[in-house]
Parts: sequence; C-alpha cells; structure tokens
Amino acid sequence: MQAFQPTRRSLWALLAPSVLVYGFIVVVPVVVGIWFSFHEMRNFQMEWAGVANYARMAGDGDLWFVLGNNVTITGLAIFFQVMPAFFIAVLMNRKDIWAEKFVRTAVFLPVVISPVVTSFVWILVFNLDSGLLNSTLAVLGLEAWQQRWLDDPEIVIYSLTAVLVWQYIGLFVVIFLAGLSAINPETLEAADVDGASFFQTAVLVVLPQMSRTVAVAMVLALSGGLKIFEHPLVMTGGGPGLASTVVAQFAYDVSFRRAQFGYGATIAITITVLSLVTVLACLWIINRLTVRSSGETDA
Amino acid sequence: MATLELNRIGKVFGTTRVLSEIDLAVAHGEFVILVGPSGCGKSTLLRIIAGLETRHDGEVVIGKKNVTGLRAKERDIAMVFQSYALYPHMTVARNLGFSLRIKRLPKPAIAERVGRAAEILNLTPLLNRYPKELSGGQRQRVAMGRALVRDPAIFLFDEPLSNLDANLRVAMRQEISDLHARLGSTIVYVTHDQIEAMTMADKIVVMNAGRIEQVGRPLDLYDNPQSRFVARFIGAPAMNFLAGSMEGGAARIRLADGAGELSLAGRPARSGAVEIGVRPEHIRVGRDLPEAALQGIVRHVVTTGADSYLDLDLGSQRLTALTQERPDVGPGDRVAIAIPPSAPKLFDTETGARIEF
Amino acid sequence: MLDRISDLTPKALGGAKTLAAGLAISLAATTASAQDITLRFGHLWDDASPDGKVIAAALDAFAAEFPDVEVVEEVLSHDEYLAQFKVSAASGALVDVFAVNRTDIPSAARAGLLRDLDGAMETNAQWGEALTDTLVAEGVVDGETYAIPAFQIVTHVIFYNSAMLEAAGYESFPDTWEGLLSLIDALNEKDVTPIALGNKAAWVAADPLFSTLANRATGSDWYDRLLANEAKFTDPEFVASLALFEQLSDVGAFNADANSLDNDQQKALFLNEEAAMFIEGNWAIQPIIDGASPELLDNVGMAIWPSVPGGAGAPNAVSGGSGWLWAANADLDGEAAAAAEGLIAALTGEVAGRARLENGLMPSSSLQSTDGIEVPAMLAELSNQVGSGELTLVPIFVLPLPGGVFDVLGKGLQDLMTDSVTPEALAEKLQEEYERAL
Repeated sequence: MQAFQPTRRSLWALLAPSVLVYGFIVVVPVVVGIWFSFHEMRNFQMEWAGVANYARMAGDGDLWFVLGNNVTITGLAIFFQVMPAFFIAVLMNRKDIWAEKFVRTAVFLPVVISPVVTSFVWILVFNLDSGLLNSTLAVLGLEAWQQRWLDDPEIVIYSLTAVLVWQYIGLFVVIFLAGLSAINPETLEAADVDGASFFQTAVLVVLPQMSRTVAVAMVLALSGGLKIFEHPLVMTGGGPGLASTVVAQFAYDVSFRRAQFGYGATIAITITVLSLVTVLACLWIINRLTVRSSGETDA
Repeated sequence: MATLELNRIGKVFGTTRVLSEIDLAVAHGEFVILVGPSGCGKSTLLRIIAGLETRHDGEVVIGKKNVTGLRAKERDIAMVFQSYALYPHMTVARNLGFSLRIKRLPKPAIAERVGRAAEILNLTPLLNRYPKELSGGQRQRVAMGRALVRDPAIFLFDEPLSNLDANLRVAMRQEISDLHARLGSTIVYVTHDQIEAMTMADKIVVMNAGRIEQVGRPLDLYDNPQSRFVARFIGAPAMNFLAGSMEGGAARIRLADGAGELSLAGRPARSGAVEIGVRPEHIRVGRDLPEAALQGIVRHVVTTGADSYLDLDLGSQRLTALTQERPDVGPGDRVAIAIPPSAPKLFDTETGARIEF
Repeated sequence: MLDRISDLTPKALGGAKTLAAGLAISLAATTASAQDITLRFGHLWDDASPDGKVIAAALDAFAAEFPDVEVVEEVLSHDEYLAQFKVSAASGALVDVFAVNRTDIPSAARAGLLRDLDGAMETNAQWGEALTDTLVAEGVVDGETYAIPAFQIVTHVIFYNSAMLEAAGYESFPDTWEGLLSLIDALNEKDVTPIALGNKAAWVAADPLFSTLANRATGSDWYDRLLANEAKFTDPEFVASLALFEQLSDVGAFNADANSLDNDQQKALFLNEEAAMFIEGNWAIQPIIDGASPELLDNVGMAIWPSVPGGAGAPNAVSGGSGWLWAANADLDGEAAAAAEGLIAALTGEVAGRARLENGLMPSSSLQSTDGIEVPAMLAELSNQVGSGELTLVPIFVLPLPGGVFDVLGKGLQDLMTDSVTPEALAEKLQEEYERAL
C-alpha cells in the first residue's frame, strides 16, 4: 500500500468541507452580526445607524443589570461548582472502583439531561406552596427558612444558580477526574506520607499539577456563565422584571420581541468580544502563574 | 529509628489473594530487602507497612505502637517511590521541605534541615531547580532527600533504582548503603533485583506468590536456600538443577538417564526422585580431572575476562559452570566434570522443599 | 421561495405547459387535475387547539371552493411564530398567507410586505359588512386594509367564585375601586387568594389585567393621543394607572408566586377553589366549563374592573379586538393572489365563524345564522353584552404600540409587583422605548 502523500491541492480539497462548514456556522454569522450592529430595523428594513447601537448600549442600565446577573451566576458557579467539583474529583480518585462508578454516574447524569427538562423538575422543587423545598422545610419545622424561591427578585438568581450548579457540577468532576488521571498518583501518596491532609494534598499538590485542566474548567465555567439561556427562560421567563434575565435572553428579547435586530446583534457581538477577552485574560493569568513548573511533566 | 513487626498480614484484591500470613520482624537499624519476582506481593506489603493500603488482615507494629489502620502520615515513616513522585511544580528545595512545611516548622529550621539533607546527597547546587530540569539520578537523590529530612522511624524504598541505567544503579546502590551505614536507619526496601538485595541488605526476605519463602542474611540464603525457589532466585548465574534419584541411606545419587553419579557428603534417608541443585562456581571442568566422576560435552564458552561460563551437556541435562580460570576447551569438546560432595543441595521434586542430610 | 411561487403563475408556465402537453400524451390524463397552485400558510394554532379546529374547518371549506389549490400549513408555537415572523419579514421570506400580529402590521405594511386587501373587501361585500369597524381598523394602515381580523376576543373578564365572595360578605361584585380593595382585604382575612395570577410570561398582567385598567384611568381620548404621539406615558393619568396596578399588588390581591406560574396555573388555582378570582379573556370560558365542578360552575360569575377614582375611562369599557389577523404576501399575483384572498375569506367566513362558536370562541364576523349551535351561556352572555353595546370594546393596550413597549411594560409590571420600580420610573422607561420606535 502506498502511503498517502498530501499535495498542496489535495490538502485543500480535504480541508475544504470543514473550512466551509466553519465559515458558514461561525464566520458568516459573526460578520452578519457586526454588519447588523451598525444598522437598525425600521419597518422590517435595515437602516444605517452608525454607532448609535453601541452608544445606546453604554447607557442601557437594563443591559448592565442583566450582565450583572451573568457575572453573579458565573462567580457563584465558579465558587460552588468548579471548586467543589475539584475536591469531589480528588476524593473520588482515592475511592474504590464501585463507589467511583456509582458516584460518577450519579454526578454526571444531570449533565446529559436536557436543560428544559431539569428546569421543569426544579420548578416543582421551588414551587411556593407544594414544592419539595418548602415542604421539606415545613416538615423540618423550618418555616422561617421558606422563601419565594422564584418570585423574590432578591433570591431568584440564587435559585437559578443552584440549578445550574446541580446540573453541571458533574461535567467539572469528570473534567477534573480526567486531569487527575494525567498526574502521577505516587505524588498523591508521597504527599500522604509527607503528612499532608486531604485538603493540603488537593490544594498544594494536585491543584498546581492541573493548571491546564483548571484553565479548561475556568474557560468552560466562564463561557457557560455567559451563555446561560434555557434555565431562566423556562423557570422564570427572566422575571420577575429583569431579576433573573440573563444577557442571552435579553439579546433574544430585544431582537425577537422588540424587533430591534440591530441592537440585539450589537449586544450579542459585544458579549462575544467580552467573553473572549475574559477567557483570554483568564488563560493568560493561569499561564503566567505556572510558566516554569508547568504542571504535567514527563516524569 | 525503630523496629517493625508484621503479624499475619493478609491482603485480598477482589478474588485474588495477594498476601497470606506474612510474619516479619525488622530490628532497629536493620536494612531489610523484600525481593521476589513481579507479582509476588512485595510492593503491596511495603504499601501496607506505609499505610497506603489500609484494608488488610493482621497488624503492623512500628516501634511499640500498633499502627494498623492508621494513615500513612500518622505512622512516622518516609517512602521513596519507584517514580520518585517528586512534586513537579516545586523546586528541589521546596520538594525537600514539603513535609516540614506541612508540620509548620519555623522557616529557619526548615532551611537548616533541607540544607543538611542537600549536603548529604550533593544536591546543594540543584536546590532551585525544578524536577524536570534534573537527570534521573538527581531526581532519585531528591526523592531520598525528601525522606531524609523527615528523620522518620522507618525508611521505605519501593524499587527506587529500577528507572536508572546500569552504571547509575551500581553507584546509587553504594550511596544508599553508605547512607544507611552513616545514619543507622531502619530501612525496608523492595526490589526485584537479587543483586541489589545481595549487595545492600542486612536481611533479605524472599517472597513468592504472596508468601515469604525465606528470610535470612544474604550469604545464608545463598549457601542455604530452604527451597528450590530461593535457590533459583538468589545468585547469578542461577543455580543448576539436575534430575536424579537416590536410595535411602546411600551417600551417592544417580543422575537421570544414566548420566552418572554424584557423591554426597551425607546419607539422606529419602529414596526416589529428587532435584539436585549445584551452584555454577562449585563445578570444575577440565580435559582431565582425576576426581571427575562425570563426562560431558561443551556447548559454548563465554568469557567476560575475570569469569568464564561454560555451558555443558550432561547426558540430556544442561549445566552451567563458572570458573575464574581461562578454560582451554571449546564447543564440542568432551570434558570431565567434577562436583565435590559438599556442593549438591537436594530438593523435593514435587514441593521444591529442601531435603536436609 | 416566494419568488419561485410568483414565477409559477400560469403566464410564466404557459410555454412550459405547451411543451409538457406533448410529452404527457403517453402519460394519459394523469396530470389533468394537477394542482397548479400551492399556498404556503403560516399560523400558530396546532390541530388540537380550538383555533386549530376552526382552521381545519375553514380549510375544508376552502378546498371545496378551490380544488386546484394545495395549501401547505406551517405551524409554530406562539413565541416561535412571533420571532420567526420578524425574521421572515426582515429577510423577505414570508409565506403566502399567514397570521400577523397586530403589533407587526404597521411595519410590515409600510415595508410593502402585505398585500393590499381593499379590493378583496369590495368584491366580498358580505365579508366587509359582517366585520365590525373596530375590528377592521386593526388591519388598516394609512387608510388601506392589509389584514383581516382572525377572530374577536375580549381580553378582560374577571371570573369570580360567588360562593367565596358571599363567604367574605359580598352578595355581588363590588362596583367601585374602594369596594374591590375591601373585598380583597376580606378574602385575605379568610386566607383565600383574592386574584390568582400566573404572569410568568408577562402578558397576563400586561393585557387581561392592565389593558382595561389603563383605560379606566386614562380614558380612550388619552390613548388615541398617545398613538398620535400627542400624549406621553409620563402623563399623570397613565402614571395613575400604573399606581393602581401597584396598589392591587400591595394590598395582596395576588398569590405570592404570581410571576413564576403561567396562565394555566392561575386557572387551576381558581378551579381548585384556592382563589376567588382570576382574570383572563373569553378564551378561558371553555376551559372553565370543562374543568370546573358542577357546583363551582354554578357559582362562576363574570365581572370587569369597576371604575377607578378620578379615572377618565368609561366603566363599561373592556379591552378586546382581534390581535391576530390574516394577511397575504404582497408578492402574490394572478390566480395565486385570488386563491390567497379566497383562503382568507374562508378563514373568516360563515363556516369558520360557526366552527368558532362550536369551539367556544367568538367569531370575528357576525353570522348569518347560529341555528343548531349550542353556545355556552357565559360566552353568549359576553357576546351579547359586546354586541348590544353594554360593554364597549377598547383596544388591547399594547398591540397598536411597538413591540418594545410591550416588552418593557410586561417586565415593568412584574417589577411593580416586587417594588423594584416606581410607577413614575416605569412610565419614563416606556416613553423612552416608545420614542425610540417613532
């Protein structure tokens, strides 16, 4: 059999399909989006608007408020999802095979369920009168802790975050488990022998060796936090008011409910750029912190 | 420094029994080496001593304290791992000082102990390097240094030299021996390499299939193997084994298929088939040996300079002889073979157990 | 797609047909009754819904009249349809005949996307006569008719449980705002939710509750001036209407989870007798009849907001109209255009009207005969009151306004309920959004 020798031409021929697909699903929408952002729709026609949409965005208190919701959710998710997932993964890494399999399945299962389905399930949990949460609190005699989980504008964002954490923590556990499998297990035992506690081992020995995994997890958490859409839409419709509206739904509403496609595109493009910058900054910082020892060695 | 005592240690992985009824006592300051083929359970036993495997039968006593069920960090042991297990994100100095920082020792004390360990192991110029910037031997020394700064009751070594090349391994053997001599520490050391065991150990524990075959000083094991397994495992080139049979009370033994007879220094009471073990260096070979009782044919001759090995056909059986003389025979030559009566060790053909006489 | 359909007119096909005729000889007459025209028909009512059944009946009637026209239905859910319509309109990809929301009509008409139906109104004389002027007005832009009302709805009816009102000491529904507030107090003391509200999707408060309430406070004059951009949302009369809504929430008129339930759940609270009232449109009548116990059904009363203190609005005004209208693509011409107009006529004609009544809905046009149709008593009562002028229809508040105003009002009313915004601040936000679209 003759080994395949790609020529310049055959290489392009082979790459063409993926380049085309990428172009159509990524490049074209972005270019169209940028074009839209300098226009606004009037009577279903796009009219040149200059930088008016960008100027409007700067002064749009509602937009910054809903962006704040994303920041809150993302921050809480990193704290209550990425961090616990790391420790769960380290813990599971030490356990027996059957327990690991069981926990892996139990923790990962929600990840593969549709967000719409989980949202409906959690609506039942959060229901004011008959929901699992308030009922359980009543049974425990903790009526004072009962809340209007989805109706109180001060609380709803945390209720939503809890659902997101519940649903996606398994994803991060699996990511960290994969990262853990790449580090020398004897370093964990060495730390054990050296007298380190579970948390000391996790933080001082495992974490620094998984800087790339942590970077991946952070990027996923950040981008996930910025693209949340289904959960608030199904559970609260973004309400009450804008209390649980996230930037994706806001852009959607502006485009499709208000028919302001130009402004909607402006928001979408800006958020995309903002996400990119945040993610790159995050990667840069992590890279800087680990430049010399750079985690995964060839030991 | 402390003693170590293992009482009836057993371990089962799933349905596989990997250790059965291991009893062992290690004296204060003793250098004990667990040796055996891979899968014999020696590493598992070491991990049980370390507290890295906590689910097992029997008890582990370090010093006067029963540490069974205690975590590794509660046992006052230090361990050198096969992969060295250096923390890749820490400099040599921080690797060495990790356990001390965990103990929250004051910084000057840490620096002092790290400095001393580095000096002992010639690591001082490397203190600010990262593990990936070190050679294999240097990493090995850092791993030992990390154990050293702990000043533990017992040092545990898990095949520490198996990732080094041959020359380095010889040098490191010497370093570890010197270190032991200098510190007088209690060491339990696991290896599959019997030469390491023979050259370093005060006491060797030969393990096979989850059991201890024999415990003893290196030369005791060499001279007096209690089983065919130990006899075969200890010594290189390995002991020769010949099939033979005997009649009770006779001071001689007949080789299988009539290749001849060997004289014995005693008169074993047994009759029937036995296995005869003869160390290569006890066999003398020559064109003409007055005391020779056997005749064989040379297959090959290998000379390393100081030593020469002769592969011989003795009837249908094979035999290797070792001599320090330059042999004057070549392949195909018919030679006389002499085995002094003190040389043969007899083993039960079925069980491999030593037959004393 | 549209281009292709408009190309497929008999004119364009003439040559091809002649050519094909020769080829078709051996194929005998297989294509003799071929359907020459295909109409793509977009709407948002699936087969199982009452409206879907009406459409099915109308399509049957249409098929009898236009046997050569094939109608291909494209059905989406409500929110999807609203979004898809905007996308299709912006990209010039509207189907041939479609439902169009009142909100989108001015923009779509001015963009030249909708077929001018004035001619059709004249040729279908009986059709024009049967529609009430207020309804017809919804499809008129700059004096031309671009869309025909799909139906008539009353979007504000207070359904109440008279037994609960009696238990709270009320023999009849209060006829003053103060009376309503004290009824709410009395019901709350009995631990009954006064008004069940399921406002997750934000339209229940914005239309069934607020459309009529706003009219009570502002009157129709102010509203007409608002549409003409001569009045502002920040005018005191409109701010007062927001304050009234806030007051309802503040006195505890609604269930505490009003913004996380949907309109089916507010109905369920009423049907389970956990709430004394709920407010929706006439479309809720049939589900009440279907879902209420016989005892409850006997006790269900219908009311509207009482007059409000200082309000300029008529106390018998209720919000209503059509909201959804049928329109045709402006690109159609020739036989396809005639077929499209025929389809719209069928959708709003006698057969469809009877089907509406049979399904507990109100037709957009008056029927020549209602013989043999059993109309539920509540629906008949409501229809009669509207027909007799006992109730005056006023526009659904947000529909003639730009979509952004609906969005801001829907969310703003939720904010009012959680005290996250003041009526004044919300009014300013509405005005800002309104001016953006002018």
